[in-house]
Amino acid sequence: METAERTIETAPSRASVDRLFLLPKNPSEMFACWQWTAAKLELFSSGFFAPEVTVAVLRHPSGEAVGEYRCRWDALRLYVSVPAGGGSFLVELRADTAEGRREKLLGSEPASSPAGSAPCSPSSTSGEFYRKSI
Amino acid sequence: MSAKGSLILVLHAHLPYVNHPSSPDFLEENWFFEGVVETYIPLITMLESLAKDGIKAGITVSISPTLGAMLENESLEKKLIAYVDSRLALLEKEAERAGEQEPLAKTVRLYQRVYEQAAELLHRYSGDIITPLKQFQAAGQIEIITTSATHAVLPLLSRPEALRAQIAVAAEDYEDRFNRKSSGFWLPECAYDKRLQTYLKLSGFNFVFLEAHGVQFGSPAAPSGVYSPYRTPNGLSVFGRDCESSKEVWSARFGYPGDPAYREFYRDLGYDGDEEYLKPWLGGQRRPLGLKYHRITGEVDLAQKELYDPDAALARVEEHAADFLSKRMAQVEAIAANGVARPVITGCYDAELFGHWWFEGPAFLESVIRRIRQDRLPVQLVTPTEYLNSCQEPPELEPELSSWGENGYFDPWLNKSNDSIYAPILGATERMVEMANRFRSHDLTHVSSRALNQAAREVLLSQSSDWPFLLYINSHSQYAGDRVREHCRNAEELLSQVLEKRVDERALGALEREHSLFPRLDFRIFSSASEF
Repeated sequence: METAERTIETAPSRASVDRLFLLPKNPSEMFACWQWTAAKLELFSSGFFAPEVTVAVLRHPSGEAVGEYRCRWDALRLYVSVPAGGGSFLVELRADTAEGRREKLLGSEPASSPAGSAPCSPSSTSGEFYRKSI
Repeated sequence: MSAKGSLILVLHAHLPYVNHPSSPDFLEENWFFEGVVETYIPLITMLESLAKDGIKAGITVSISPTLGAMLENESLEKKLIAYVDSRLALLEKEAERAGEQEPLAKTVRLYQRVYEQAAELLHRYSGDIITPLKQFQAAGQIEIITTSATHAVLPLLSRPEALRAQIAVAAEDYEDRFNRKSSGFWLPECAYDKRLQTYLKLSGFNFVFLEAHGVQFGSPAAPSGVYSPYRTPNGLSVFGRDCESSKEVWSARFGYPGDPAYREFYRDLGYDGDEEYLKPWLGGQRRPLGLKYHRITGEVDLAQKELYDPDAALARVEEHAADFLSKRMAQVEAIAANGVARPVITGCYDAELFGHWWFEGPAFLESVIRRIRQDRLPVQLVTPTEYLNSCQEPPELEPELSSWGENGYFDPWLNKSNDSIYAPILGATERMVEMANRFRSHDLTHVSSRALNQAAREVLLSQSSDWPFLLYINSHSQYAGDRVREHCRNAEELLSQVLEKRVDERALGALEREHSLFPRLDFRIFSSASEF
C-alpha cells in the first residue's frame, strides 16, 4: 500500500560518534541510515566536504561491490538494492573533499538479507484489520 | 479414537506500554481497557468455564512483558475499574433507550453481561488478572510463554547487545511474574534472525514460532514442511506457522471473522450516537466506545450495515468451529498420507483477534476446544512443551530471516512512513551500549545507577514494534512519533547527566514512576561482556 513519507523530528544530532546503520527490509532491499556528530555537521556545512556523498554497498566478508548510490549528506537515510539470494552486506559512506579526495567517513556493521522470496500465503496478522481505519 | 495429529493453538497477547498516571483520561490508555474487557477477561472466563466442566484447554498464551506490567499497574487498574463502571452506567441508559426494540435490546443486554462479568472478575481478583492465568498454568490448563521485553522487531536491532537485552530482560521479567522460567519465546511479529539463537538459548528458552517461509526456506530443506518442529544447530526448537488454519481464522475478508452475521467493528455508538447524550463518555471528541450494534451484513457501506443479532452470530460460531475442525482433520489426513508421521498443525494468532477485533472469537475458541475434547476427535490439542516431550529429537534446520508481516519480511516496520525513527533509536542504543561498557565495573552512586537503569528502560521502550506500525497504518501516528522522540531524548539526556555528574533526581523520579516496568533491570545488560 502507498505510504506517506513522515519524518520524526528529533533533537539535533547529539551523537557522540558518527554512525552508519544497515538494516534488512526484504530480499531485494536494505535500509541505511546515519547520524552525524556536531563536528561533522560543521565540516559539511562549511564546504570542507561536498554536499553529495557516496553510499557503497559491499558484500561481506568478500568486500565485493554490489551497488553505489549518491545522495546528500543530510538525507540521513537511503534504501539500497541487494542481489537476490540473500547474504551478508555492509555499507560505506564516502565523501569528497574540496580538493577532490574521496574519504571513507563511515562503515556499518554487516547485516543479513533474506534469501527467500514471496511467503507461502498473504500475511495473516492483525494488520489486515487495521487497513479499514485508513 | 487415537490421535492422528496434533494441533497447537498459540494466542499472543500484547499491548504497547501505555501508562500516563498524571492524566485522568488519556486516549491511548483505552487500548488497554478495551483489551482487558473485550479479550483477556473473555478468555479467562472461557478457561474458567472449561475447567469447571473438567475440560483441559491445552492452549498456549504468550503475554508480553509490557502487557504484564500494565496488568499489574495500580494506577491503570483503578482507571480500568472506573472504565468498566462508566460503561455499565452508559449501558443502563442504553437499555432504557433500546426499550423493547429487538434485536437491539438483546445486544445491549449482551454488553451488560460482558461488562458485569468484567466487573465481577476484576473484583474477585482485586484487579489482578495475572493471578487466574498463573493458576491455570499451575493446573496444567495452559502454557504461558513470553516475548521480547518491549516487543521489538528483533532483526531491526543492529547491535547484538540490544538483542540480548530484549531477550534477557524478558526472561527475568517472566520469572518475576510467574515464579518459574518460560520454556517458550514468542518472536515479536514472528521476526526471526539467526543471531537470536544464541541469546534465546542462553536465556533458557527452548522453542519459538516462525512464519512458514522461515522454515520452508531454511536449510537443509524442511522434510515435513511446517508439520513438524525442527531444531537449530544450537538446540532451539522451531515450530512453523500453518498457513491454512491461520487464513481461516485471521482473514477479515475470507475467514470466519468476515461472516455477515458477525459484529461489525467499525460501526460504534461513539460515532453513531447523539453527541450531547454521549458527552460524559466521549471526553470532548468522538471516539469508539466499544459498543457496536451492527453486523457485517456483507460488502456494503458502513451506513447500510444491519442490526446485530447475537443469537444468529452464535449459531454461525458453532458452524465455523465445526468447519475449522473438519478442515483440520482433513488436513492431518492429507499430511499423514504424504508421509509425515505425527503431524502437528501450529495455529498462531494475536490474542486480541479473539474478542476485540472478532467479537465472537472467544466463543469460537471455546467451541473448538470443547469439540476436540468432548467428541474425542483424532486431532490432539497440545502445548509445544507437551509435543516436544512426546516426540523424538527434531531434525536440524537453520531457518531463514523472515516475519509474519505483510510480504513476509520487514516492510511494514521499515518504509517511508516510519524509517526516520531508526537513526535515533539505533543511535540511542549505541550510546547505551557505550555507557554500559564504560560504567559496568564502576562503583556508582545510587542515583547514577538509577539513571543508567532508567536510560536502559527508555532505550528498550523506544525499540517497540508498535511505534513504526502505528506510523505505517497512520493510526495514532502523532502519539507513536511522540513516544519514539520522548524515549530517545530521555535516554540520551539521562546518559549525558550521568556522564556530567548532574543527574536531575526529581525528573528521574517522575520518569521512573511513569515508565515503571522491569523493576530489576540492570543497565549492565547492555554491556558487551554482560554475564547473565
